[in-house]
Amino acid sequence: MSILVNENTRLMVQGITGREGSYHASLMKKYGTKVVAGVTPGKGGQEIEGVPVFNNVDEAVKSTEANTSILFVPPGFTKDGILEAIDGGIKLIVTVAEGVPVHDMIFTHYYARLNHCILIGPNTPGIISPGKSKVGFMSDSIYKKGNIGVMSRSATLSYEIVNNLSNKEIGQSTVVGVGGDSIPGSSFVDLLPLFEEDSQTDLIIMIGEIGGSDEEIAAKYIKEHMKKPVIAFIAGEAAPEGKVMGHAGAIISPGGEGGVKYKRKVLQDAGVHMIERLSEIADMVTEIL
Amino acid sequence: MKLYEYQVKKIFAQYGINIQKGELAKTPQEAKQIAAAIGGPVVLKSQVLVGGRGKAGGVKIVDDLSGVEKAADKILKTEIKGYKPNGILVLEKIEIKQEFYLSIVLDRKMKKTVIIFSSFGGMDIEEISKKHPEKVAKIYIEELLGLQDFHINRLLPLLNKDREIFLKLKEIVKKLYSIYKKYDGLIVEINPLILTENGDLVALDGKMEIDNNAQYRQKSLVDASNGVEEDPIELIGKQAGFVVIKLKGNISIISNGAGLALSTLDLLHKYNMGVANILDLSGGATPEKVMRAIKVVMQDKDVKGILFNIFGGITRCDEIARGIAGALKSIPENISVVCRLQGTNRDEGINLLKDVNLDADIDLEETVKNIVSTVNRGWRI
Repeated sequence: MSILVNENTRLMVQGITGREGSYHASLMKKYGTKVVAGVTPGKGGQEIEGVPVFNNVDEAVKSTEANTSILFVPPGFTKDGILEAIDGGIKLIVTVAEGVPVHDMIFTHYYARLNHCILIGPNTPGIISPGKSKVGFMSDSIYKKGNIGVMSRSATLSYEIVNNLSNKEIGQSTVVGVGGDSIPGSSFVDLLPLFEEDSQTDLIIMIGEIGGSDEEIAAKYIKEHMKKPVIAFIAGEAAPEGKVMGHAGAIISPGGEGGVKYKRKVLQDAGVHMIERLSEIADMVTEIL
Repeated sequence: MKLYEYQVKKIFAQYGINIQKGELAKTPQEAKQIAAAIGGPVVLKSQVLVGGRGKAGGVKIVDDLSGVEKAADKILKTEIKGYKPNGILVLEKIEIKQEFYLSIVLDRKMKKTVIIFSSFGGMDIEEISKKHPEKVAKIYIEELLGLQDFHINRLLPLLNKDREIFLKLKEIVKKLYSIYKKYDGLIVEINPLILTENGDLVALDGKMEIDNNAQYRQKSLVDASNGVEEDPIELIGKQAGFVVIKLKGNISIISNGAGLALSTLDLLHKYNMGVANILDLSGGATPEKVMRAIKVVMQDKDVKGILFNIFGGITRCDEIARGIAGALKSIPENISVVCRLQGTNRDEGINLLKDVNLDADIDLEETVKNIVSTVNRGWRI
């Protein structure tokens, strides 16, 4: 098993004729992902990296039975691209661009939900189920197939955690970047039930950070519904209030809302195992499993 | 990005929300002329983006117009929480019968737009909510539904069922919602929204914050506020194409991701070492880009040490190392440089740095310990 992406993923790349789109289409293909179609309006009919390019999502889906899409398009075109993919019947969409307006994301979040479509991102490296499929731009050499589910708001911290795990021969079922923006298409709480149901996953690692309430919402769900153990790391305990710390979503509100201490406490109360340093992750996993 | 009151009120006026007569003055003389044109008692309001300007001497009522120039001069010279005013709004003084509070806010947690209204106004909403919770209404709007009449009808009980005022309020809520949508608002607030003696609703103040991600489609507002509130180093970084975060301390963190930089900050904090600034190279940095980044952080006079924390993915450690080696001569010897390289082409990177007598570690904690001791020693080699 694994979640979201696997051997049956038939991927469409929206924006495949762009520099990033074509480069990562070839890398994903090389990893073993079934990249079946590319879409760029007005550039249909050609092939990029051996992948047929279509003018629109409908044509691509009809011809190739694509069931998943990744968008390598600029933030200003992201909303339209996502809506076109949903309209075309795609049920899993990953959008990597950083800087998508939040009003666009709120609308697409609800429209995706209405159509039973899972939207991941923006500002994410994507999803990888090691050994099966990669839908994103992460450097795949550090990942190993295994039984740990990972979800992270930060790309680099997920690499850091995965590297620590793989070095100790601890593999991963699926690693998902929920993204660093303030309104993600899917949050931790949307992924938890998928990991809980997944037979390959035995433990879940959640890498959070300051800002928002996604960790708190996840904590409530964990307490009420999760049987599998969860480990969490929260970045940003030394961050000052009122300052955006790199990710658009990483900000402690004046007054302290979104700070690390509270998040840690709520997670701990929900039975989540907390680590304070990234280097502690492998030992913690070994101890629990 | 926050907007100034005068910018917000210009938008209000365009949408037909009542505001007081008046204009923005950049000098005491201009303030005098505007007051003369108004021809009666005026209110002078310092244009800053921080709250609490009333208490800090940034708002003054002037009944006798001969005193306007002097009062304006004083306000223009008064910094508020460290910020210099960007002009003065000179407004007609207006009689208040009743004060309300109205805002439209994007609630991140609920992923919804919320309308907040109170029949008490003039103080901030947290205070109103504490003192008079029964006088505050919060109405959540489903995104795919948008604002409908029934949403606004829920405010009626708070107005003692006064239909005349309610109908006026309804129009204002609709206009404010249009503004919020059109300008990618995170918050649009009127506090106080006042009822005048002759029954009009007037926006006495206006606050607005727009989504930074949407700046590309809000160019007119962005140009008008021209980055006045930014820290000099953050501005230098922006001009060089980087996101720089200015903090308090002596270490500069250069990293290839926001999360990685943030956890490095945490780790330094555990060793009681403050951070002067954080610079995010983001993915795929070239040697030239690294050299440019070093040049940026060196302009921060607080910096006594630079810590590179790189986890190569798209970013290649050898490219980073080439950049560091290339810039090393330009870094004074009393500034420590330590590097942690991990991921793509790590060993090539470490060897390149060895050639210029710089040790790179693959372990982050070791690197942090290293910079703490070298900075405390005050010498690189």
